[in-house]
Amino acid sequence: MASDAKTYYRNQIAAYTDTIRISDFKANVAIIYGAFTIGPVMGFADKFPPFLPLNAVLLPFVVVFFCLLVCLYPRYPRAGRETFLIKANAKPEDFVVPANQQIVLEGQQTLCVILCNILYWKTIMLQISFAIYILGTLLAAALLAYFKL
Amino acid sequence: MTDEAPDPAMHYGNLISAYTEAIRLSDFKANLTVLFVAIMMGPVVASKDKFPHFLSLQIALAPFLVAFFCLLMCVFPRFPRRGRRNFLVARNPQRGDFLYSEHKEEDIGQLKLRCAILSGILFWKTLFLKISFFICLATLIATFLLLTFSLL
Repeated sequence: MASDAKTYYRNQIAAYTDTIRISDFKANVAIIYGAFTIGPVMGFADKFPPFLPLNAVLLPFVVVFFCLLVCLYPRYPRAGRETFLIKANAKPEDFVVPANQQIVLEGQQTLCVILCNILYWKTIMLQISFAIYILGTLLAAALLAYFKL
Repeated sequence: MTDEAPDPAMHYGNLISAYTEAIRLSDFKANLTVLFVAIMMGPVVASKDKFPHFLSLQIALAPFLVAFFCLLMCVFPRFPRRGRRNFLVARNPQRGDFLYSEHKEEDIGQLKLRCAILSGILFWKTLFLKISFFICLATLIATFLLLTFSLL
């Protein structure tokens, strides 16, 4: 029974970790994409329609970069520090094997909670930034079609 | 079943895997962030004529330099001395430097030591990564405020 629970939590943790890793990868690629795109946008600033100042065009980029950096911000909540110690001068004695399987299961449950919360915020930030990118792309396409820049 | 303590070798092995994974992820983030900061530096320098009068180019470049320093410190390769016994990094290694130990307790001790070393490495990596991300986020907030103010 305990072994089944252990496998269940281990699979859950693996699934969360994998999804978080994919989210981080997406955010990293998206931030580089944004950084590459901002250059040409600034280069064509003199061809923008009169109602569209450069500063207004740059604002969405700033919001996207902010969201993506929040998405990538490294987080190791205190709740998980008991089993995953992060210390400048850690000693081998700081690492103790749990006394029984119940403690292992509780640790795994805590890890599931932490990873679930991390994934939630990563997804929110990623969704906001991707929505802005998509809207920006559609708007740029519409402007290009209308004004034939 | 639940009263049994987990196998120490497996427990520390799993912990080492978790640390290695977290370190690898930190390195990946730092590498791409340094690339992002480097790419962003071009447009910032190019638009120096459009800066408000109180913002000189030197002030605008200062956060970039601090972020670069922190990110490079984050990806700086480290192999602490206390872990040399089990993970040798030498110019002229000899066959005798790599000896198998049959003592299980010694193995567990080495695994615990590796956990401690990786924990220390992850601590510094996370600290430098957090500082650089914080600088980037603060700079973005300042940029957002300046852009919004210019539009009013």
